[in-house]
Amino acid sequence: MIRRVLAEMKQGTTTLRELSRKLGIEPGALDGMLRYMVRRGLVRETYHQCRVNECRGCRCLGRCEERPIAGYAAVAQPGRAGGDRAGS
Amino acid sequence: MSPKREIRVALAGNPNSGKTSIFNALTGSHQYVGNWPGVTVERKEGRFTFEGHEVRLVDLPGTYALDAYTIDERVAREYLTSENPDAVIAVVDASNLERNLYLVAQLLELGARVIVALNMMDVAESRGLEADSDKLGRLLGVKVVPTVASKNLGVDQLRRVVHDIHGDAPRPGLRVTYGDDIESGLARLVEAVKAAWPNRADSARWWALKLLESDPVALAEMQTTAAGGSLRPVLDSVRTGIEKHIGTDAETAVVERRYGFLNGLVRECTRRKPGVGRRLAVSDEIDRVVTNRWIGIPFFLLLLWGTFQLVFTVGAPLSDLVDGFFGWLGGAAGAGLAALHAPGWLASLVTDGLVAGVGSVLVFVPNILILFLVISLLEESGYMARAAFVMDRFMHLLGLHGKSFIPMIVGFGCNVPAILATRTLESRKDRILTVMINPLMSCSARLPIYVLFAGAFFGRQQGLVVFSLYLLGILLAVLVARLFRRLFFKEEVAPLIMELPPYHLPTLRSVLTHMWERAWLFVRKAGTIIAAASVVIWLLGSLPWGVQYASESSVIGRIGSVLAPLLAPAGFGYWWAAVSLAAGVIAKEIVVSTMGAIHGVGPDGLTEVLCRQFTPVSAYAFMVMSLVYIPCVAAMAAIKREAGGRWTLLAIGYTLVLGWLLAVAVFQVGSRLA
Repeated sequence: MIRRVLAEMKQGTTTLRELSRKLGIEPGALDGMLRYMVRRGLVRETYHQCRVNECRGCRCLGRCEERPIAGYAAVAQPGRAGGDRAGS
Repeated sequence: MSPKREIRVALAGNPNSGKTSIFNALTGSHQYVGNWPGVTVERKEGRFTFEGHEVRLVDLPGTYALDAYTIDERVAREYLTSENPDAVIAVVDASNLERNLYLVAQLLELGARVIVALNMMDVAESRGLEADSDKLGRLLGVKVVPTVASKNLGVDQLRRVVHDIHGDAPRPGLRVTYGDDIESGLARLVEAVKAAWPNRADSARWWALKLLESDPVALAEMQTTAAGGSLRPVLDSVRTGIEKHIGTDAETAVVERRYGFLNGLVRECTRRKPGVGRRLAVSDEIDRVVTNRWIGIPFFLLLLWGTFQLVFTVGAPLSDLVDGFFGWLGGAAGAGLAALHAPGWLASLVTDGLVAGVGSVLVFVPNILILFLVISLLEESGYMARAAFVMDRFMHLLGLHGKSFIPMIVGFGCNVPAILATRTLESRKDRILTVMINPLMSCSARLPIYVLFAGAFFGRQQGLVVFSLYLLGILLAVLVARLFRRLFFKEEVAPLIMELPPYHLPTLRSVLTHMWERAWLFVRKAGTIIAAASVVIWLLGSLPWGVQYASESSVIGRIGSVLAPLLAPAGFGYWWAAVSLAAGVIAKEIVVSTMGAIHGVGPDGLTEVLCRQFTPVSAYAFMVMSLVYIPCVAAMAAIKREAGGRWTLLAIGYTLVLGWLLAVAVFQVGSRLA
């Protein structure tokens, strides 16, 4: 399943719900897998969105409230993000 | 009669599974709060009695798994392995079964006597999900009690099951099967664990799995205990075998199979009820359209077009009212000052400079209000995140990082916070690239220029014209990003999985608040920077003293005359147009206020002036130039801070050259076609 998620990610940008429908996995479980993949160094978490209208114009200097849009991107050359591996 | 033994029960579950509600419902006010030894993680204990038995309930930290990567996971696992409670109540969110059962599977692998509290049954039902608790119990090999802890439903039954189960002999629960290719190696490792750690013979499978999963605690024990040394060659051999057979590392293979097993199990014991969970279905249906590969972008463009139609059709009569007010104010101020025998220069400063300059910008407040009303609605409803998503997909087709589009959308408001918003991009290359293209997004400060020129020259097509300018900005940003990526940042871009926020109905209050805040900023800017700039323009137009105000002989006229020939190929080689564009570098709104101050007229008067000197083609060329040329001073400062001086110079240089080239191209090609 994890390899299917990675394979699907290579097909292009998608949403968590869309991918969950396609793979027949609950969004929550898919989220769990993605968190494992982040820890394993296979994908990385991406960006947040600054709210357009919470911005205080030229005076806000980035202090506007951030609302996260969780994103995950495949890592080109996976490396281990957590834990050690015996024999390596 | 011998005293009844205390039953020790641990409470485990995912965060947000309703674990605290179950704990409170079971123990009532009999709770004790402290910390787990050595860490600052809160430890809660409580007690309840049932049919003469006292039950001590320990609330474990909320975790998704029994790995050892977080403090919470370590605390929960340490308690379960060292204290060996009589039973573990696993609180499971019935509406998110597949993910929650991952922890249950690990509890069973650990050998715990598990009772499942299938909680939030009401939420699952409202989402159209029907979970068969009996079947789940049979498949897991444990007692499953359906509960709605927030309503105290099922709690008594849970108490009874805890009471009844504690005396039973441990029964083997579900055993996740990992497939022959893993199981054969796992069996070898289990035997090796039993030989190395005889005191863990009962949980040998658990420890073998943990070693395969590169669990830091299990690996540390293997490396630090003398007996553990014999495990390494077996572990390495099993891992190599699994990797060879399955084509992925052993850890991923185990996690993948566990998820796969649970996926099948959940399919067995749940079913979707047709017609229920309507709200979710509606949300999904909306997404099917607005994020569709083919419809998504046209829909976004349609919304953008509709927005500008609204900005003009609703904004125009309101702008006329504001214009009328400033016309009256200019007249009244002139008459008042004349009655007070004020000097001529003061009357000119107030009417030609301040009222004409500031008024010519403030007249667009209704348009700005409508634009931000629509943007607020789109943002609050959750649509803007979808717009970012569909553009992301489009930009990937061009080999670009789509996530840059999010700061670009922010740029519709103001380029400065949009440039600062690039801080959320993790790669410096992406940040610089996004900073560099951001000035091409039409910020609200450019709207007065568009509204003035489009209103003067394009009649009923004015909305379409402004829409085309916003679109041109996006297209230019995409093309420039592609060029810069080729020139400066050669790297492959990875597609994304995005989690979009759910749709919801915006509240009137928050929409109006956001709209007002934005409009107030515009008004405040008009009262400060634009007013000051109008005074400076008036002064330059009046010097040297005695010259006719804002004539070619004035200081401002001479400056403009030097610049004007450069703009002639673009069709607007007028000294006052050149000065307006130059002044617009301070803030883009100042382009319009400068025109107002130079001609000493409001928008209606300006329209007449423009119609005498511009054609529709040169007007469009002027708007293109205003869109692209040099970022305002505040945006330049933001670029310098985020990317550095050299990138700022490049941003100034490329926008100036690109703006001029495009304006010339529009005028030259347009004139010939016309």
